[in-house]
Amino acid sequence: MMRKTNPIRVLLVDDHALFREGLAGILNAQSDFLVVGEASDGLEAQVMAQELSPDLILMDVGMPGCDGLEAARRIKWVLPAATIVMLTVQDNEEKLFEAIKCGAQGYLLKNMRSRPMLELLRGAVQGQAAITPALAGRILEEFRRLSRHEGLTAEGEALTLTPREQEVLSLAAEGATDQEVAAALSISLYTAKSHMRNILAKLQVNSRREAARYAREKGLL
Amino acid sequence: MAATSKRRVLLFCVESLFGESLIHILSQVEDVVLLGPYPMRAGAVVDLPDVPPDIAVIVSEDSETPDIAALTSLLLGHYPGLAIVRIGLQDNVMQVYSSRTLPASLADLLEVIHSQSPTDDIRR
Repeated sequence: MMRKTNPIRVLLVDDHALFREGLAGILNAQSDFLVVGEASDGLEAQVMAQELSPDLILMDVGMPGCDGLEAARRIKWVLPAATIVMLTVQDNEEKLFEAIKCGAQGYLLKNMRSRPMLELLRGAVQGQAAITPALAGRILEEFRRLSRHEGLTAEGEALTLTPREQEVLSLAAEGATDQEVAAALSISLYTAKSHMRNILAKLQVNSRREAARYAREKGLL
Repeated sequence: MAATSKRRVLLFCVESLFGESLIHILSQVEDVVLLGPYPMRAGAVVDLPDVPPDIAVIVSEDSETPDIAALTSLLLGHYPGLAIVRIGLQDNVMQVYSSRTLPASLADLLEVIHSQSPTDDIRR
């Protein structure tokens, strides 16, 4: 006899009652989904999430009072294993990244069709990211952007060491003390220390060892 | 027992979760006959049924766009007296527009005026 799998128990959170009821209808029409609760704001969602322990929380972002992002953050705090997917009308990169930081497993837009949404939700409870290829592309682009900016200072200037600082750091990376650096470069101890202070400040690290490692990783040496 | 008369509901919606979910709900209501869905554009009016519907429901993410205003106007031109409901995702409300045709007499005009609830501002 074929074993019947348990349906995915869903908590729906949306302040738009008609949308929520309609979505519940679509989910309940699937044999593998069951809407076990509906909440109309983030606070109600927190209470119901704890009471019901749903397999999946499908939550709007923009809601009065406690919004979906704050609710997601709080729910993940008390129920770390909760699978939360944001479902929103807001095609907004800032909200998307915020949702991911809050622990959301996905971020879907309400202008999508039900069939792909259902597939993504099934994947979400299996640990996959519920995100459309278009939004995934934006996340990758953001990572690329951050990667390009890693070698920049807070002001956006390219992170570079002067030739003298590179000499000082090369010697320090080989284990030379400030005195040995001063002697090797024929500079005063005061100047050697000053160069080292500038290097640590530029690289935003606390020790010459960290400075050497960071500089090697970034190709500054 | 007399059969319940069915309401002919003309549905306009974009292809999205909201539209799909309303189709799902309304198609399960026993006394509703769903006409459509029709695409959300003024050009869809040429394909409308000859028999007038009882009500039109326009579903979109934003119910306040110029396209929807144009569609509302065209629908009223096509089916005078048609009630129209506009539902968007931006606000948790629906707007209901109703219209009717009356003889252009002073008595009817005054009746229409008096049938409206006075606004708070005027009462003050």
